[in-house]
Amino acid sequence: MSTTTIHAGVRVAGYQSRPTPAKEGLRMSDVAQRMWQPMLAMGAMVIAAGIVLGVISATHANDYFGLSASAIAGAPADGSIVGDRAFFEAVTNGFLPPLLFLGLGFLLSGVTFLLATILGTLRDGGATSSAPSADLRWTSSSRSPRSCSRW
Amino acid sequence: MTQQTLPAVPRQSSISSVLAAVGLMLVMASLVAGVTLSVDALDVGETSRTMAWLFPVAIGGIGALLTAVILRFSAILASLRLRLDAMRDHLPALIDTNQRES
Repeated sequence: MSTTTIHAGVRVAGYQSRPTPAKEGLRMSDVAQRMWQPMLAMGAMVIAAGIVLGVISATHANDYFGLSASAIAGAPADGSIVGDRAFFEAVTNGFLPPLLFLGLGFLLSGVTFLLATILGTLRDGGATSSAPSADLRWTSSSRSPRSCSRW
Repeated sequence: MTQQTLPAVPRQSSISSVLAAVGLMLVMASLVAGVTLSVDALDVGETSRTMAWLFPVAIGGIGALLTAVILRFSAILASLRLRLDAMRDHLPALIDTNQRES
């Protein structure tokens, strides 16, 4: 990527310009351009895993709540009936909601990174398209280049 | 007269419309299922076994909507790059023509 360097003391369109820093750091749009696709992929994978976990938890809940009250009361403490209930409580009321919200967070960060990518593209496109007109001469009586008067 | 062909519409655009429709349907189905469940809210067994999959499906619907938003932005980015590339290619010739005329 190439940017136009503005030196100190130069006036642009009649206004005193600020000089371009000697070395620009890592820009947000450069990071965002590489990050929005992994964020989209991670969000989709986390939400798909959450849906699969929810269906598995629903089968465990179906096994448990399909039993009669006497069967539940007489179940051994380390048996499969208690295990079904423990799995359901651990997943559905435990880590499943935070996991799904994490997936939503990944997707929202993907949206943010994509918006930053659009901003960076607009900025770079403006710099690239203004480069051919950098050598135009400015007249003293006009605030626009004479050769670009038709624009 | 020059003949020009328009570039193809980005494929993400149509995919995002389908994804948005699917996401809306999932969220609406979750709402209807929730209302149906609330009719007999004291049936803890039925509520538990339904809510176990209903909540992830609702979040999946929202995720499909967000993915549709991302794909729509990606289509905007693709068409924006097309326009910027076209401007970068043709602007020097336009400036030269304008300078010659003035």
